[in-house]
Order: sequence, then structure tokens, then C-alpha cells
Amino acid sequence: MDLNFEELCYSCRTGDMDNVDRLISTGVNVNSVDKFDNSPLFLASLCGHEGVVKLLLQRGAVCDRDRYEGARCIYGALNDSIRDTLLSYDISKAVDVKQPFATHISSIYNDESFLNKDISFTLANDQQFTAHKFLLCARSKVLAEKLANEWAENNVLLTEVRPDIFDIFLKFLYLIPILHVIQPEQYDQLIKLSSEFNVELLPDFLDKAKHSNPMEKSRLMSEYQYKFTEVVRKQLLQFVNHCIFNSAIDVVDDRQQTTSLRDCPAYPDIQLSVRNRSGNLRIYPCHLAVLNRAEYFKRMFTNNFKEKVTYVKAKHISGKHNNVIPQLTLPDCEFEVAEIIIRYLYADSTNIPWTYAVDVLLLADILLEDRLKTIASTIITQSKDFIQQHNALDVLYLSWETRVERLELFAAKFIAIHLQELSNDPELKRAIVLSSERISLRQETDTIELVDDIRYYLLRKYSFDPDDVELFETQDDLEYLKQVGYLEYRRDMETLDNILTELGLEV
Amino acid sequence: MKKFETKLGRMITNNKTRISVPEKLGLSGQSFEQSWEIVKHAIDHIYIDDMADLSFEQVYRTIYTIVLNRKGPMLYDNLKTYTIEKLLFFRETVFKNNAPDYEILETMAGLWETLCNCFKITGDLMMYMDKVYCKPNRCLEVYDMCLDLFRTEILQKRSSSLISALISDIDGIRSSGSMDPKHTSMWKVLIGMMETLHDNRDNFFLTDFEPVLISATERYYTDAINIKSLTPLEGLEKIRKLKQFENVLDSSFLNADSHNKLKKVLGNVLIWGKLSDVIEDLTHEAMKLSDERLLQEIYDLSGERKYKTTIIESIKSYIRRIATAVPFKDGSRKKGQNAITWSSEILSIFRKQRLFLGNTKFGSVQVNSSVTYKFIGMTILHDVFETYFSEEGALPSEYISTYVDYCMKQTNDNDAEVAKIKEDLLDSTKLIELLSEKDIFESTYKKQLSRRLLQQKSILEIEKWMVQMIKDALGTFFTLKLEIMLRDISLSSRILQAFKSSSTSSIEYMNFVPEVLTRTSWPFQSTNPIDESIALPPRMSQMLMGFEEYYSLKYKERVLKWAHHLSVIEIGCQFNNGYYEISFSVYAGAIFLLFENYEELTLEEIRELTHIPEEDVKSLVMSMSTVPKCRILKRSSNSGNAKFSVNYFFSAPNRKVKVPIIAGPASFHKSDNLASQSLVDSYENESIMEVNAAIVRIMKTEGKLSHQQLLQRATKHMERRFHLTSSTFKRSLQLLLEKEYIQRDADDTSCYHYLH
Repeated sequence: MDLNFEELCYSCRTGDMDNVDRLISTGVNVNSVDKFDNSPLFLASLCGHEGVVKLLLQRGAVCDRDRYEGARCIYGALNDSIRDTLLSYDISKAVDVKQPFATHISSIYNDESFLNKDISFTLANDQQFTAHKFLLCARSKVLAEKLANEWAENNVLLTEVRPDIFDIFLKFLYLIPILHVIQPEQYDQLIKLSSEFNVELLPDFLDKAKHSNPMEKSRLMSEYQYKFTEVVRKQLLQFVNHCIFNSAIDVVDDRQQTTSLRDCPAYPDIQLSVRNRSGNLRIYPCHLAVLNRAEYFKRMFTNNFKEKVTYVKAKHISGKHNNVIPQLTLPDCEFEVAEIIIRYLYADSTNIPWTYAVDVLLLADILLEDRLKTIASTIITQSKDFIQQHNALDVLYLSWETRVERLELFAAKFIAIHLQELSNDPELKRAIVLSSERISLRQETDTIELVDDIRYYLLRKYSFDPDDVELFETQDDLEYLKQVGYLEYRRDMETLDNILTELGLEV
Repeated sequence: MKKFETKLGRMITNNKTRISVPEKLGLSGQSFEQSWEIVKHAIDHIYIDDMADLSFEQVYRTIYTIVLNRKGPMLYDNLKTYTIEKLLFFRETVFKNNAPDYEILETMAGLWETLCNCFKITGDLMMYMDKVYCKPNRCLEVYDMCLDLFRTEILQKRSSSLISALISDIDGIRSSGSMDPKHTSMWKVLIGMMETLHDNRDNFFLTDFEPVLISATERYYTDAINIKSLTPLEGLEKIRKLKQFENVLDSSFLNADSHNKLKKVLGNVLIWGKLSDVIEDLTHEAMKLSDERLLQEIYDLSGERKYKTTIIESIKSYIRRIATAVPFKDGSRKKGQNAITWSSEILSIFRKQRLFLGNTKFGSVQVNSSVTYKFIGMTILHDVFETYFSEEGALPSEYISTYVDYCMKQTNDNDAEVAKIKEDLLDSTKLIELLSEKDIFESTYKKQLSRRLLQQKSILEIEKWMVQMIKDALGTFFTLKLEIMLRDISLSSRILQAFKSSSTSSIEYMNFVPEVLTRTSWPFQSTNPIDESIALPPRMSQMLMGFEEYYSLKYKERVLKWAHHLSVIEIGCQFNNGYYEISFSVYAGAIFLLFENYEELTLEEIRELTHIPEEDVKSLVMSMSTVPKCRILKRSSNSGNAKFSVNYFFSAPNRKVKVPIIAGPASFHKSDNLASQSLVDSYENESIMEVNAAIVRIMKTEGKLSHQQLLQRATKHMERRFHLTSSTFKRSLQLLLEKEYIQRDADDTSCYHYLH
């Protein structure tokens, strides 16, 4: 087993915050388990180190209550405070799993493929750096200003900045972890450059690092690297809201298809058009470098399909006078849904109102965004409002459609709880029949998954173990059985069996 | 709570908001046929590599809609049929009949690469179906399905022409002898293809191609070289080249596993099939040239145990050949001289080969040998020399002993070379270990040692060291008597010290060194009869008496007898031309000293004065009066009765002069000759004693044994000392039967019983 992971587990037991922090920054998988099946999160919560628990959660440790490890953490927690912390970090909030966001932002800096970088800097000794305008724009107001005015051209001459300093600075903007390579003699120059462009946190870090010993410095590094990510997320969200959504235009007349958003403050290289259910068309200025995060777009541009050919062509003739920007179409959906997707892709924002959760789920399914699907279905299962507005059986069908097991279990649980009210609903019978027909697909015999799930949740409903039920069967003290709820359980089971008999299903 | 639940239940039955999936996101209103046309159109364009007008968005969403409408199975089947159609088209149009090998390969590799790309793009387009339909229904994903179709529709249909073309192309490059990256990279593509495509057993490469490749390689290299037409070295060079080339070639296009398989084939064909015919000559060649690298290379050519054993045997036969080539009995020279030359040459061979083999890495190989050294080279030498010595019988033992004797005598003359001589001696012990007739060595050594000790021909310290070395090599048993001899000498010098300090009667001008020897340990049969009656000059006999007195006081139980024939006397004498120190046997000395009192003496007078028998007197006087180097007496022949007097005109180049014995007293003969008949006899008597003891030991434990069993056991028992001959065994057996140690079985005459 990974030595670092072992050390991480040890530090989680002892509550050594700094060391946990450091170890996580080395890339240890915080969701792994040791040879006794203990996750770091479980160890920390069992030993009562709240700070470590929070840190682990912030860094992507998953406490999913519907999974064994997650449940174990919560029940193993030493005190209520830790338990509350764990509960508050259900999966919907844990966004840093394997850091796809920061990694993606960093990756676009080094991407040498056909993707567009639309600004280049020439420094002293003719060294060239290229970047994305939208990112610079998002990262600092000063940079945004400059882009709008002095740097309106695509080539910028920056002879007064030292190339090595600019290199670090640019990488920093893209969240590439470079803090450890900065030499003391570069500190002042970097602070100066960052301040000049009004880029926060980096000067802050450098100031502190100047006066720190190596131990503190390494702690600072991981602390700040994390802060940087958070800030970029915020900044990109702002950018999406201000620059992208504000620049989006509604096309009133369908024939007016040649709308170009080229000169909008978002500096787009691609346009994303969406038609909502009322038939209105809206076009968002977007960036392929970011959309690429979704498997769907990535594959679209892997091969030389029309989309890529058009994009590459547009890139090559993107002189000042070219107004053409390739346009992609999202499947029809409400603008709000499209915007949720855009916010998710740009800023990893997972703030999904329950009213749009289903639409987001379906769209994510098309776009092959499994993580977004999980998040959307979590919203569905956690929202109290949702189930009041929707039919549980519809949730079941939705789960089959999108292959999200969480929703399937959720529906089964709901049916188990409300079995008496639902027993006469023809829809339930239809669902059971449909579930039995799915047997052939699963190549399993003798079981109807829905019925099995319901039976399972009936046990849970009365907090019974299968052993308990066996025990109760031999009892004849009615009063006692009534008291423990066995009679009600029997009634529910009989109801379910009656339905099955009625449907002629032998299980 | 109850209330809340009912409310919820109502809500559910009310079906407030329905979630309707398909219509919302899919492309509604298309029939499957229409959708399929779109997909088909896309596939057409993919296969002609013209996708610029193909919208991924549109095709993807079409597929999404089809799958969502549960038409996945239809789409999958249609896609399969259509892909087969495509592949058929390629198969029929791309391949030409009777195309040259290279072209076939090129076509296949090209087709594979093109189609793989098409498959991948198709797979990308179909990924929604992969995820939603293929995975849950456990059918191959689109890309894998296409690959499988490629296997069944193209590869299998063309496999025989592909395989034969590939093999002949490989053979072509082999015979050209130079790498061609164009070819190898193409092979690599094709083999990659074969490794990718697999049926439910294994990939095509393993099932169909590799076996063919292996047998083709075997065939190719069997024909590639005719080892008989080349000299061993040329053959090796050629094989080395072939092997190297094939290795480079294989590594350029094969995976490590197959490469290893081919290496083995190569080993079998080239090394076993070809080289093994000349391997002995080749090994001898390497040995002759003392070329360590060559030998190592030959040895390393194959990892087969059988091969390595062959080489080791070849090394043995070579060393044996050069060892036997050393002249063993050269009639023209004296035996002693022969012994020295032979031994030193054998020793130098031993050394040279040990050094040479020491630089060869033999790895861990089992050698058929009675002994196992950590160092295989040593095992080899051991085997070779042991066999050689045993074949030559007793002589090597005597020769080596003589050689040691020679070396020992050197030590006295030349201090500077002691270290080198010690080294020679040390190596000699290695050879001594290998002697088959160690008893002969022992007895010869004992005689020679005794002479060296008594005549002080060597350095005592080195003698002691050597005996220790022999002890280390052969065991305590062999050196017991030798050690006693050494001890006697040391003890004597101490007794002398004590005697001198105690003796009141110091005798001027005389230096007396008595040696007290344990009779049983020294190789002398008896004392000389002359010693009983000889009349020594009064000064000498007076001194001997003094010592006898002293000794008998000290060791009352011991009997002291003088052995003059082993002693030496040294007399300093002033001649007209200078002062000389002359060493004599005691008898000659006694005679010479007579001339202190007499001017002239006849032989008869000498005999009367000394009581030495006439014959002996004659030869002693002859040795002093006729040998040119030491003519210290002169003969004045008046009539028949010759008279002798001191020759004052004697002169010699050195101050030290030795009077040799021309034909010494009869008793001298025995100890003076090497391996004479009597020595062998005495040796045989000794060995019979040993065999007797061994047989008694064996029979005592076993009680009853057959003749054959007993012979075997006894032979094994005696192995370390000498080779048991059946005649010795029979003699010993006879003796034991006579003495009633054992008894023949009454019924079965081939059986013996031990009698308690």
C-alpha cells in the first residue's frame, strides 16, 4: 500500500492537521481504505478530530450516507458536532473529487492541439506566451480592462516583464501548482506583477512565505493552492454570470441565424445555441476549451466531423474582420437548464434548483456527464419539495431511463413507506410488471428488482433485521408483536404479496 | 405523521407533474428507417474518410433517439450487417490476386490502420449506445464488434496468404542480413493487429501466427549454415552474427514473450543443432589461445544444462591432453630429473588453467563429479588430474614427492626465493590431494624428508609448514609419522643444547650434532651391521660415549643406537693450496682421520684400524682418491699393494667439498633408489595391513557379507588412501581367513562371516 496513504491514516488518527494537509497535496487518494477497510475520514471522525474531518471533506473525501463507508463515518463519529459536519457535506457539496476542475483549467494551458488560444505575449528576448483571453478576463479586473483597451490586439508586447516571472505568473493564473518552484529572488518581481494586474492571493502567499521556515512554507503552499482553486471557481462563476450570460442574445427571428457574438466581452470561440420549450432561441458565447470537459464535446472534436472542420477553419481565418464563430446546439431545454450546465462546466458549480434537477439529469445523460448526473439525482432524492410535486413511480422510470441506481432505490423506499396508500394505484402494478419485464435484460431469474427493493425497505421501515422477522414468526404474543410493529409489517408484506398474486407473478 | 403520509399518498395518486422523457430531448417524429438512413450515411462518409459535412451533433442525437426509443437492438444489428457489407467490399476490392508478398502485407497493414480508425470514429459516434445498450446487455461495444468483424471477415479469410507472405518477407530480410525499418515497422503493425484480434480462446497471433513463425525460424536457421564447411572459429563467428542479427530483428517487431521463444529456438537450432558438432574443437581452440572472452562466449551461448556440461567435458579433455603431453618417462634422463621436470610442468599447467578458468563465469551448473568445489574450474581440474594420476599409477606420487624434495633443497640455497618456492609447494599440495596412490607418496616423502632432515638440506621451518599443508590437504593420518620425524629433529637440538651445557668435557675444534630419532617413525629398516664393530677415532668415540651417558641418565628406559650410515662428518683441513671443509660419510671420515697419525696406509691396514669390512673400505678409499673433484688421497702404487696418503696438492673451486659415495656399503642401496621393487613390496605390505583393518571393521559391523559386497565396501573405504586392487584384496582376505578373523560360509562359499 502507498506509504503516503498509510501515513495519512496515521495522521488522521492522531489529528495532525498539517501533515494531513501536506499528504493530501501529494495526491493521495483520500477516498481509499486501509487494510482494515477504514477510510481516512472514518478514522478522523472516530478519533474526534473535527478539524481533520473538515479538511478531508474540503479536499474531496466523500461521505455518502447511502454507501457503507459514508454511513460508517457518520455513525462512528465521536461527537454530534462532527456528525453534523459530515452530514452537511453530503455528496452534493463535495465538489473536489479528484479535482477535475483545477486539473482541467491547468490542462488547457498546456494544450497544444487545435484549440484556440487567442492572445499571445511577446516578452524581452522574443519569448512567446499564449493564453486564453476569457481566462485572463475572468482572473482579474485589471486584466479584463487591459484586454478591452490596450490589449485589444491579439499580440501584446510586454518587454518590461521578466520572462521567468511572466511564465510563473501565467501558470499561476491557470492554477498550475508552481509555488514550490518560485525562487526567493523572484518573490518581489512576482508580487509587483501580481499587484499590478490586481491578482489576489499570490502576493499574499509570497509575503507570508518570505518569512516562513520550510515546514510552514509547505503548509502555506497547500493551503494557498487550495484557496487559489476556490477563488478561480468564484471568478469563473462571476465570469459566466456577467460575461457569458449577459452577452447571450435571444434570436427573435429564426431566419436571422448569422448572429455573431465575436465582439462580446466573453471572447468566445464557439457559440452554443439552445431552444427552449416555448420555441425561443438563445445563443451563449462559449469556449471549446471549457466545453471539452464534457465527454460529449470532447468526442465531437476528436474526429474530423463537420464541427471540428468548421472550428479549425474559423480559427485560421480569425483575423480582425472575421465574424464567423462556429455554433453548436444543445438539445432543446429551458435556458435555466442550459445555464446550469454552463455554470457546471466553467466553474464546477453544482447549485441546481430541484425544479430543474430532472432536466439537468436528462441533459447530463446525453452529454455523458456522469458526475453531473449523480449530483442532479442527489438533489432529487434530497429535496422534500420534489417528491411532493412528482410521482414516485415517475422517478422510478426516470432511474431506468438514466440508469441511476440511487433514484431506483429512492423510489422503492418511498413506495415501501407509502405502500398502503399506493396499494390500489394501478400505476404501481404497472411498474411492478415493467420491472419484472426487465428481468430478461439483467439475465437474472426469479427476482423482480423493484419488489426486492421494496421488501428491503419494508424491513428498514420497521427497523427489522431478517433475523428479527424469523424470531417474530415463532411468537404468538400479539400485544408484543403489535408493540414492535410486526403486525403492521405483516400487513405491508401481505399487501405486496396480494398485488403480486393479482398480477400473476410468482416470486 | 399519519396525516402527512396520507397527504403525500394523495399527491402521488394525483400524478401532479409527469416526467416525460423521450419527447423532450430526442428528435421526435422520425421513423427508425429515417434515422437509420442518417446513421448509414454517416458510416458511408466515415469509410471514405470524408466527414467534413457530417455533423456529429446530428448523428449522435439520432442515435440517442433511436436508443431511447428502445430500438437499440435493431440499430446494433443493422450496424453489424452494414459493417460486414463494408468489409466485404474492402476484401474484394483491395486485395489483388497473386500480388507479391510485400504488397500483400502492405495492403493488409494499410487496411488495418484505415479500418481501425473508421471503427474508432464509429465507436465515438455510437458511444451512447455503448453505454446504454451494449454494456447492460452484455454485447460487444461497437468498436470491439467492428474489430471482431474484421477478424472474421478479413483476417480469417486472408490468413493463409497473410501468414505465408509475412513469413517469406521475414525470411527475405534474414537472408539479406540487414535491417529494414520499412519492413519491420510494417510487421509490427501486422503483429499488433494479430495481437489485438482474438477469438474466445486467445489472440490470433498466439493461436495462428506464432507457431508458424517458430517453426519457420527453426527451418530457416537449420538451412542457414553449414557448420562442417567452416573452421570452428569461423562457425562460431557466423553463428554469433546470425544470432545477433536475429535478436535485433526480433526485438524490432515482436513482444518480449515471443522473442524469448525464438531465442530458445535459435539456441536449439544454432547452438545444439550446429555448434555442438564442433563444440569440443572450439573449446580447445579457446583454451589453446587462452582466450577467456572466447571461452566465456562459447559457454554463454546457450543456457541448456546439457550444453554447458559438454563444454565442461571439453575443457577437461583439453587439459587432460596437455597434461598427458608432458613427457613422463624420458629414457634419456635420470629418473629424478624426469620427476622434477614432469612435476613442475604439471604444476604450471595446473596453475595456468586454474587462473584461466578462474576468470570464466560458469554460473551454477551441476558437474558430474565426486567432489564439488564452489569454484567449478577447481572441480574440473580436480577431475582431470585425479583421473590422470590414477591412470599413471604409483609414479606421479613419487614424482611429486621428488619435486617437493627438490624444492625443499632449493630453500637452503636461496633465501630470496623462499616465498616463490613456498608458493610452488602450496600448489603441489593441491596436486598431492589428487594423487590416487597417496600411500606411495607418503612413504616416498617420508624417505626423502628423513634424508633432508638428517643431512640438513632444507629449512626446518618450511618442512614443518609443508607438513602442515599436507595435513590440511590429506588429513592427520598421513602426516603422523612425518610430524614425529620433525619433532625428533627439534627435540634433538634441544637435547644437544642441554647436553652441551651439562658436559664438562668440552672438546676443542669439534662440533657434535646428535639426532635422536624414533626408530618406528623413520623409514630405516635396520641399523647398519658395520656400526656395531666400527672403531672410530678416539676423540669421536669419547664424545659419543659422553652423550650416551647423558642421554641414558635423562631417559632411562630408552635404548640409544648409533646409525652412522645416516650421519655426516665434516672436517676442516689445510692443504698446500688452501683450507677446505670436506664433508664425509662417517665411515669415510673415520678413514681420513687415520692419516692424522699415519703417513701412508694400505687398504688392509685401514681395515684393521677401523674394523670396516674390506669391500667397503675399498670403495670408500676409491671415492676419496679417484673422483676428480675431491681427490684428497693419493695412491702410490708400488707393486700390487697400493698405499694411500693425503694429497696435499688438492685444490677445488669451492671451499666446501663433498665426498660422494661411488658404491657405498650395501645397506645404502635401499634408501637411495626411488620406487625400487622392495619399496613397492613394503608399500604393499603396509597396504595389506590397512585393508585387513578395513575388512575387519566392515565385517564387525555387518556380521555377514558376500564377496562382492565386501569388495565394494572395502574399495569405498580405502578410496581416500589408494585404489584397492583385487589381488591386494584377495591376499588380505586370505590372511584373515588363515588367522580366523573371518570364515567362509559353509553353504555359500561366496559369503563370509565375522568370527568373534
